[in-house]
Amino acid sequence: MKEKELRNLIDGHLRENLDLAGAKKLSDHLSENADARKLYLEMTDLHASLAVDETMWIEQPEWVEKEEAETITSFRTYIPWALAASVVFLLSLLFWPKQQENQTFALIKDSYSATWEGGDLTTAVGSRLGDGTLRLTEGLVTLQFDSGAEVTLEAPVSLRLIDSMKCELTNGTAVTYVPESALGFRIITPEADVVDYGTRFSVTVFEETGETHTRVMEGKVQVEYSRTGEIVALSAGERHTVKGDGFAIPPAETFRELGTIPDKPLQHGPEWTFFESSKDAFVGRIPNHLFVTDDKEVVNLLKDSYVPAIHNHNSKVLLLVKNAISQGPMNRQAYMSFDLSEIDLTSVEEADLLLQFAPSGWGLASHLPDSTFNVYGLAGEVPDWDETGIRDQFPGTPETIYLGSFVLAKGIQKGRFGVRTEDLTNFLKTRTHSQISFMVMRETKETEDGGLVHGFASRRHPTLPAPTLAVRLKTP
Amino acid sequence: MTSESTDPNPRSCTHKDFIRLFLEAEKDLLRYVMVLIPNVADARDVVQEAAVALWDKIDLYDPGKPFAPWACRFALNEAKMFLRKKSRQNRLADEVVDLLEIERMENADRLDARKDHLRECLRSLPSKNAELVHDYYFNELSVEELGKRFERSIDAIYKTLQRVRQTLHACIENKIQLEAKL
Repeated sequence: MKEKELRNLIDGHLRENLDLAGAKKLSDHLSENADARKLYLEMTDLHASLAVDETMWIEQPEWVEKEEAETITSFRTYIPWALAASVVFLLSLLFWPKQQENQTFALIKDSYSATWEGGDLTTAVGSRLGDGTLRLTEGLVTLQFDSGAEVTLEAPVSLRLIDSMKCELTNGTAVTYVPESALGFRIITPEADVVDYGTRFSVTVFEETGETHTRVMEGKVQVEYSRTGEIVALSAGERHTVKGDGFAIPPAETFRELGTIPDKPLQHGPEWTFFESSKDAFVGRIPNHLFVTDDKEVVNLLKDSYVPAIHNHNSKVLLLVKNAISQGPMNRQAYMSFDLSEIDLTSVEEADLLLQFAPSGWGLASHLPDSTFNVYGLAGEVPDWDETGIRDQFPGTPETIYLGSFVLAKGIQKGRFGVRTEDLTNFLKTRTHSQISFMVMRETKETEDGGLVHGFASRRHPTLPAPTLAVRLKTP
Repeated sequence: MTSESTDPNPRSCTHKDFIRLFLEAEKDLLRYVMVLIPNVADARDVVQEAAVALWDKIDLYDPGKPFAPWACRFALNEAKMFLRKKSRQNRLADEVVDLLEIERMENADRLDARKDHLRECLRSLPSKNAELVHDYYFNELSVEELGKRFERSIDAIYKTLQRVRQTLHACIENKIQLEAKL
């Protein structure tokens, strides 16, 4: 007999729901199999302990307190023994310290570039936290629970703190470290509970779908499905996904993109000209896009891409950039070209290359310090590259000229960044071709495998501005 | 001459002592009985019957020894009598009941240790599930009442209860394995 069938029969017995055949089957199996009897004794004793040992229910979360009055009236009609037991129970309730409304069990240990929204808890570093919800829209924040568990929240994220051994993640990513003192620390998600048995792991919840991704860096965790009761044990290096409907899906199908949000308009004066990529390729283009003004011409011939492409790990709308610990296809650089045939390059006074970053949904921000990005101009033999055709590497061997760098602080995944340097200006002024190409790479490596993949909007992004080159020309 | 010495049936244990011992052991006795009789109301009837039998035989009890292991034999005996009286066909065979009775007593310490872990595991349940088992086991709401309260079918309530018990069982297993490693 399979264990599942045995468990169902034992459950039928507890429900007093077994028919003659079921009772015989259970009886026969129990008489033959010592392990089955062991399980039977464990399950019946668990059922009995829950039913008769009222001390099990003391020191429960606040919902017990709310129901106390109802509980006492409905509890036990059994006299005299249970009445005495009830008295013991009620006395024990009296002596048990009631939970204070301001009871706290965690504190904000660290914060990087954090921006908070809503929520009902204080958010300064060092603040003590009790039951309540935190909503982080930007940055990284590390919480230290009194149990010893440490949870780093990666924006955008929404987390409800329940007690020192439990929290509920409704959206976003939480990276958790659990020392021995907090074994059994639990992250509740819409479709599953992730229980930690001394390890480091990350959990990501996609709010719109309820999907839960779990990844174990060290040790072991257990994913407990809310709907089916299924339990999956994960070891270091393993990943697991629970779909929004409460069932598992294979890891290969789990990659998806986070939503991105619009940003504020650029602060450039009227003397600037903007060159950005065409948005025509995308349905949902915003009319009178924020860069288009009446007196400025927008050049609609551009291309951008990144290399290499990896099966099931691509973005249609973002240009992905990464520098992993290991060598391999996960290391990406982005390329873009602008057609500047409409202007006299020698008259460029100043230039600004602008990139709109947005969360890619891949990798952990916790595994990355402040990240420096370098921008290079492509010179020499630059091939006429095909945006849709490059997959593994950029064609040819063009010379790369360093033009400048910018930094995204730890935890920052979105916003407008770029370079405005003399090197960039000089690079443009000295081009002999009107098609100008750039390469962007992340200089900073992740500190640990599985670090964040940065992404910025491509010209196919439906709402965010594409890579933009703004130039200020010498006034005639 | 003291009043005790005039008692025609001197007992080693007074009625007051007995009540105290019985109350202390009551939960354990119910746990023993529920190995054979999962219905808690029936189990309570059986334990009440056992109390009468125990008081009758209290002279045989050695106060130097723990009360519960001695008393549980009476309780299990009452449980078997109850099952025979019910003479329901869909119950466990007598030889299985005998085996379970022996193994329950042999495993008393192990099951007590599991019960301690259960208390911790109960605290780590998601709030919805914790609320459901609390209402079912502690408040003794019926599955029909729970169905209305949680707006779910009776079958779904039974399934959830089964699932929660299995989650708790797995949690206990994990804690025991971790303990073994330490």
